[in-house]
Amino acid sequence: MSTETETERDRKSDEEAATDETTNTATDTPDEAGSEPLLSIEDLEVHFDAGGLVRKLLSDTKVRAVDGVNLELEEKDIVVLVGESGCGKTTLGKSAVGLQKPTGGSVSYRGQDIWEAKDSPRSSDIDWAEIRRALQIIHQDPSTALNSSRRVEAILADPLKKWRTELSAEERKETIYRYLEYVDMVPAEDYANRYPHQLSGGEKQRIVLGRALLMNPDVILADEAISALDVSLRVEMMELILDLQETFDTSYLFISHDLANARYLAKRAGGRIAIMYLGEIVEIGSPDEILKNPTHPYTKVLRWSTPSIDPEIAAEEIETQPPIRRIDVPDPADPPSGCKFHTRCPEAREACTQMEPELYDAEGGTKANCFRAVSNHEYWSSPELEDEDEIGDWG
Amino acid sequence: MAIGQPHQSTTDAETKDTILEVRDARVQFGMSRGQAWVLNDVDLDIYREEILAVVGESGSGKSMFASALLDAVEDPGVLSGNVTYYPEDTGTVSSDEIETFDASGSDSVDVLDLTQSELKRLRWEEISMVFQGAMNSFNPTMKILHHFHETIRAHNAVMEDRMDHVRDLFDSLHLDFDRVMKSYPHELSGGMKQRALIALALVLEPDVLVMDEPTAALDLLMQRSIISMLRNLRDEFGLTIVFITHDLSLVAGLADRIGVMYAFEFIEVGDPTSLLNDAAHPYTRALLRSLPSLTSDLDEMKPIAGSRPDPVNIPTGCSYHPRCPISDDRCEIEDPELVDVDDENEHKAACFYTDQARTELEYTLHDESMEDM
Repeated sequence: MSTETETERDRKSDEEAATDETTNTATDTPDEAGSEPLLSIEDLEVHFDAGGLVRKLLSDTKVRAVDGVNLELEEKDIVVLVGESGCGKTTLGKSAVGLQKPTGGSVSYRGQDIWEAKDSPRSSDIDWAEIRRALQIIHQDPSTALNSSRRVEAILADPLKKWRTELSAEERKETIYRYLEYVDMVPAEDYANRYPHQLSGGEKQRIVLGRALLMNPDVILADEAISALDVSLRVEMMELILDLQETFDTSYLFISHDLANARYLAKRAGGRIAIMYLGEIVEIGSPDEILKNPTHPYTKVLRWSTPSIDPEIAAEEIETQPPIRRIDVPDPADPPSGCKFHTRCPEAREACTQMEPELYDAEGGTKANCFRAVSNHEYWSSPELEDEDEIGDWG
Repeated sequence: MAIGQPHQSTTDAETKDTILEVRDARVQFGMSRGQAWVLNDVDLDIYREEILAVVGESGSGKSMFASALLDAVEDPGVLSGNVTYYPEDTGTVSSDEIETFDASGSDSVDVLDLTQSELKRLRWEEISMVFQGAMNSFNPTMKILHHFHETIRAHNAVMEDRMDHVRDLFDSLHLDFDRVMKSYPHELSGGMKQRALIALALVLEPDVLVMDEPTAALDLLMQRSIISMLRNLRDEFGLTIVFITHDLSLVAGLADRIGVMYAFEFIEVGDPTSLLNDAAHPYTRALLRSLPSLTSDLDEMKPIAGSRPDPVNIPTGCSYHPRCPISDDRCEIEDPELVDVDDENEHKAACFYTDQARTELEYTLHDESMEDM
């Protein structure tokens, strides 16, 4: 490892080293690695047993946290998963980076099924260990993600000791300082010697980001990574993430409940927003498509829920009723038949209670999991639902 | 640095009736590093039946302000100054009960001068409070109904009257009375629990409801829905609401007035239209520039430079001066007071250079190209 002081060159040599590593381990399948998407999720299902012994014995009810999701992530891509709590966005994210074993479907990294790599290493082209390195996670709360009794330098040295064994202690220190500079923690020596409690929330989150980047990952799952930060710091953190994406060519799977932040990230990085509802992606597209021309009624609900800062618009908005029939999410252990959203959907018709929609190409440019995207669908001739639950009953 | 003027003495009093008056409110904590100031000589009038939003980042003193209104600052914090409560003159339900701490017949109550039992009455019957994540404060072994009964009994109120009132509250909060009342807390969603808790806080018909981040732990849809309900509650029951939040966009449509806190004091107060469209304080302008919304122009967004002040070591002069792009020598020495920036509406800012801030520090609330949304 070079001891040059110029950071830019260091970074490049660093990247080359990393690329070498990757190609070394994946030399057997150079062609496949080139053509396959970075991360490919197919028909992914994660079903959990419903809680309680009695319930388990009496029925085979499953909570369908993720229920048939397809998603591809390219190099230097960004997808923001947006949805209400309990919609399965975290479970989907964890499955995507190999932290949650799916009960159905597959997750492939550069064409290699990641669970096959773990369960039958002999017949696999890419090591499980290599996959684990390539897929990293940043948690929501940085305070609980850092060991409070260790200094920043010790925290950051761990991944290097495991993955870059060729580094001497001196080189390791240099690498840590360099990465601290990447995440704007300057002077690096000062921050390296601090304990987590001596850092602000934003600084802790940057350490966590730096730690993930030290592994030279291809994909980082950022689970609500900016929600715990003060509003005025969120843009700064998102900008840092975007800058580092430029530097390291990392792809991000970003989880957020906030459509405004999702728009910021996806629009800046030219990525996509995926809206999730009860374990399914119900609409996916570019931020402009999702926000300006959404097809799925649920996307419209989320847009309604995001307050406007413009006082005139906000004052009008507060007088409007939500475009939804019931405000509470149905029990995920007993999801509605047909389209899962039909119990709350203001546009639901009889057809929606019986048939399950799939992702169709919608007029607005998105892919939407709704019959309304299909102009000649029998939905349009189907009778409207009898409204037994008027909007007044939000319980 | 008075906001508004003392009760009954000015032009404001003719149109706006003060219900809570805060003067020189100051909270100090003794820390090993020195005295920490977490509320710094705050003066503010809260008007009857208004919705006042108090907005600030974490560590700006906004929760401390809420606690000060009910003399609920926890040890070792020491609260000094004055908080005066002006009960309504004519018959509220509990008007005879006010006598407990209003025996002298005066029409004002010095909140910081009450005994423990008087405070207990004040906190439920006059000024009630809902905390962040408070939905977890229900006793998990008791049905919701029991919580209501217990509270009503503890205050010797007439059970039937109160439960009738609760039915009205549940209607306004879109809660199914029978279903919620017979449920245990764990059987309800977070949003239902939080709404039930708002109803519980209002069971004795207080005049003022103080809410500290009441929707922060909820999903956006529930958050927005509760915000809409609060407006109806205010109109229906003549409530005064103090809504504390870190999220400026959440209250843009809700509040009658917004107060922005920075470094443990109010640095700008005004009606949403004036304050958001043309903020006068450099901090407020920087804050607005850093908030992403569905329509903001992303290229114009910028985080606020610098870091937030240390409560043990608040900068001299204007506390924002180290981060302010237009500060000068005067800002380092002199502490600016809240002064009018517009004559006709009560828009005030604590800055010497509001004109300069308004011309030089730019921000846009939304991108014109997103107009069609």
